[in-house]
Amino acid sequence: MPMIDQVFLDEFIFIKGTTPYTGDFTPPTGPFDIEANIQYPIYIAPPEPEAVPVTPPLDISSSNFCIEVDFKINNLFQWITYTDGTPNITNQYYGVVGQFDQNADGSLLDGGNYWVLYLRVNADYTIDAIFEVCENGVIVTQLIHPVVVDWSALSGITKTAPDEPIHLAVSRYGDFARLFVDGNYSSAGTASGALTDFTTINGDWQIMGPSGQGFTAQPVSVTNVSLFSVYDTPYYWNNYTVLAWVQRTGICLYPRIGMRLVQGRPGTMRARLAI
Amino acid sequence: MAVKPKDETGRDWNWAGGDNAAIHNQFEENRLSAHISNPNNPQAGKFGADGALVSHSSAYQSVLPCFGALAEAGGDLDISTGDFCIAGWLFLGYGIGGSSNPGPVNFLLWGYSRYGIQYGTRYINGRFGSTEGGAYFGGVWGDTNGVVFDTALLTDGLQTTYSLVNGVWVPVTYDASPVEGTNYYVELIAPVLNAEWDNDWHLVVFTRSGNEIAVYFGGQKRAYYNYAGALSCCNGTQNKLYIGYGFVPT
Repeated sequence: MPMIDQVFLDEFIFIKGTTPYTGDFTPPTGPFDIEANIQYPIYIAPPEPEAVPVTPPLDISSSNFCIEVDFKINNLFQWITYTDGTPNITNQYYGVVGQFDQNADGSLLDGGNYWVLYLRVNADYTIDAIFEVCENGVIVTQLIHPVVVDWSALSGITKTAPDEPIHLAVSRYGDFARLFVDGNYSSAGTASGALTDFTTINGDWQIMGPSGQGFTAQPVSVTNVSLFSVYDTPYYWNNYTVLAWVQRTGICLYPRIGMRLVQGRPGTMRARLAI
Repeated sequence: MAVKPKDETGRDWNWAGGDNAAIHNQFEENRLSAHISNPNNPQAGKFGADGALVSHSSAYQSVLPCFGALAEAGGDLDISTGDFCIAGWLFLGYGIGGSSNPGPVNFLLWGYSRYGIQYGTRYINGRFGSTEGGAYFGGVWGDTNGVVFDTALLTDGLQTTYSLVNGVWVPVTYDASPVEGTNYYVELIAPVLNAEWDNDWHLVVFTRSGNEIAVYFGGQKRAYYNYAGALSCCNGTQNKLYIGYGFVPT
């Protein structure tokens, strides 16, 4: 028996609620013109990731600040390619946190001002962390620092990240800003630069993940955000060692019996005495 | 195919057709994701750059589906009730042996499933193929391949589908009596002649209009089944529409 290895599918369509075919017909001689023939075409779209709005804890447009956050991209997919081998896209964006001008109904204002901290997956699958401020359609500040992730080997078309998240921080001191990746800013000349006052953004802060990159047909990773902190001072300004976040509970013997909860990074721990 | 259609609420929907057939991917529990385009893909598409390889025996194959999409209960992909149309162009290419007589083949085009196109978890699906040795018409094994629409029903009892065999509508009866569980299956078999395995493209349509579920090949209705009830898909929480088999570039 000959082997069958050359069966191909093309021009797949899925329509819900109606059908153009109720009897014998002449197959079309061109691509389906669904929009002209069918009122409610239903096609498959990947779910659109949605950002999580956060009430602005601070107006960073004209003040010192530090934003730190642990962010994780769980996996990356190989670029989907066209038949000639060229990828259909060559990068992806994973928003971490940002603030965008919004309309009165909460929708994003097209062409509005924004600041954003995000990750960019490049064509060669390297990743850059980027802090960006855009005003009047012009990017006025863009700090870039490469991110090193110890990816697994490819399994099929995806590779996975280790458990450790990427520690990101961006600090502003006066008219300067620095972008830290895992505690380092100085190894990348593009990770520090001028940040002058910009127009106050009127929208909520957004914790984004893969949202905002629009339809690309490229599968996106699950992302995690944790330990998101905002300071009104440049909490980090020099390279630092990222310490593991610690959370402990215990019972301590003081002059009286009490309970204690300690949470934070060693050296910056916060303690609460419940009793 | 570049224009995005809108649905009744004005939402944009993305084409799953044209050159991008099955190019969307849904990642879920590490089970899904696939490429359909490949520099090694030897077949030009019907109307565009390339087609998605869906047959089994290529070196480029994997068991991953080309494509997966959410089809939760009540969702946009829920075709358990109401009319629908699922269609695509199928290139029936000669095998490695260069023969136009393919013998029995079996490959999946699309299916609703919980975990992907796996036989144990499919609810309804469209496929090309037959059962062992050929299609089964009214108690007779034929050596004809066919486009098959497997449907899972929510009711039992005797069910009759019709297949167009040599120009005659042949009834095929299924006893969808319950053994256990709640899914009862029938097959709509649209026969395809060996001569139609001709290294060319053919339009395949799975559709429902009112109570008639039908399968078309090349614009000709070749199987139908009258059934007023609901199909058993999207009645759980993880049913998804999968399209074809994907393949990993080598």
